[in-house]
Amino acid sequence: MSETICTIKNVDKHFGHFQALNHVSLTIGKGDIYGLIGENGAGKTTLMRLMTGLSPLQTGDIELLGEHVGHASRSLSRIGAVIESPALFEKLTVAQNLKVCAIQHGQGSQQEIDETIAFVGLTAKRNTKAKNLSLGQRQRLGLGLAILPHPDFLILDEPINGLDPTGIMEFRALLQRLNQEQHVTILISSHILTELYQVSTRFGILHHGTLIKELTKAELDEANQAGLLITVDDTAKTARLLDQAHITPFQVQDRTHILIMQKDADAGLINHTLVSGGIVVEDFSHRASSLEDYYTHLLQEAEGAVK
Amino acid sequence: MINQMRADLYRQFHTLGYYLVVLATIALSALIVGFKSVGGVMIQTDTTNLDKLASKSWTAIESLQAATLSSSLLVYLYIGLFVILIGYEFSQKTYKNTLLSGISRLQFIFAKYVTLVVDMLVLIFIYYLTALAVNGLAGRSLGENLGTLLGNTATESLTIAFFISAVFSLAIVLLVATGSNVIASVFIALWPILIGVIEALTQWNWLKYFDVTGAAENIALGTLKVDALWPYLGTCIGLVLLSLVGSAAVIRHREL
Repeated sequence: MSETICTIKNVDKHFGHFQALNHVSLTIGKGDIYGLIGENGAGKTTLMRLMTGLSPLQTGDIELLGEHVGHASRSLSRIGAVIESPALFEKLTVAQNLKVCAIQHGQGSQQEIDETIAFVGLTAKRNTKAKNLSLGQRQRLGLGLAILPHPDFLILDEPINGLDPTGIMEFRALLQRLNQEQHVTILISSHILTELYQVSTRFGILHHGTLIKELTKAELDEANQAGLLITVDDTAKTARLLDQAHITPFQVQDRTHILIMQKDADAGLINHTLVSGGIVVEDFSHRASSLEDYYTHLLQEAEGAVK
Repeated sequence: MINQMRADLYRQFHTLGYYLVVLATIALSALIVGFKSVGGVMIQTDTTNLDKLASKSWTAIESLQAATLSSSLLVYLYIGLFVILIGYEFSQKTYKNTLLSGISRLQFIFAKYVTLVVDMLVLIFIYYLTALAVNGLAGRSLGENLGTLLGNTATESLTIAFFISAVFSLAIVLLVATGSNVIASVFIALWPILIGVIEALTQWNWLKYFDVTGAAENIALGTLKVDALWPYLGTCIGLVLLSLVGSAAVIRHREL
């Protein structure tokens, strides 16, 4: 089993009578990019604040890099985080903000500061005061502050909020580089589901403070398969014909629908095969993988379970 | 904790506000000594001694005495330092970065307090050195050998910095509890007045131990002897320790 970076067990959090988190348990393995999905108010930020010790733990247990949160602060020095919005010294420049962070952590040479500035793409802005940065540049500086001390684990709360499409693409590339080149484990929250799908390797879905689903990207893809959806009069016979013609994999969805789970399935060949075999093909349509559909479906199930 | 103090000093030296506070400190001292004027927050001060001082022919001794008598004004100048060093962390929530550096809550608060005291110590020393320099520029004599004067200056800087720091340590509790720079700053501004007024109105003699600026004045006027200083120092030490530990406890149990 791979090394575990974070284990959360039965964590509850109340604000007065409001229950923000309800028995949340999850684990994040080394090397994961864990996407935490949830609507506004689902409890994503609360969970991240508990993990970083910014919010006192009430019940349950959080183990971060082998230490219990709240008992020791040593593990905190091995994580980087941007919770809610980047906390910057507005009157200091990009380079000066990073210098303060480097001194606080007792590390970070000028060269490392320069490398971090280059890594987050702020070289041209190194002498610009934080108050004069755009939203995207602030997010990059926040990320720079979080990664400067070479963390093992990075916690990012809605980091792509407010970014333009180019900014989102660049930020996504930054995260993937961090994960692949520096082997940083990342927990990232967002309500922009397609973006999380692009970058994450595992997912946790929070709804009204409850973790309703935890799954890998492969499991999500399987549950939410893209491909060619065929409407036929006889799915059993169609399945036999597809099997004989080695047009696989496919999935019988119901009495009239079969999903060919290939992104580039040859509709002409399939149509010829089926019609030649005596099948009445009523319709062909491409079905895209949609995290939103899956998510909406899960929420409806969760709401149904509550009712 | 040392790293935190270094980071705070780095940040402070790159903030214009800090240099304005330094300039204001120098200007205040120069005005007091240059114009032979004494001012400050004085609620129950015996003005006979002040009148005597004003009418005297000034040497460096009187200049330093006048600077000490006016030291309550420094509290107002150093509100700026308080905001730069501590207030900003809470108003902009930059403490999130700080606390993620692995520092404990208590270390964080102690680092802030010690940095503030070191800053005030340096600035108060500059305040007294300016007094000596302006005294010299005005063509007045030293009245004492320079070594003794510098020794007295260092001692008075230390005492006053520590007394003033007690008020700031209480303000840290308020800042941490409320997250409001305004509340903490208003408290710092009002404390010397409130304590003096309440003491005058109620005649509660024990309140004098909490009147830190009043204690500084009495030291300058010679009405508070070294033997009688210990209860004041004890009260200050108690206030500071309680405030710092209390602040750390509040942070630990607060949603940050």
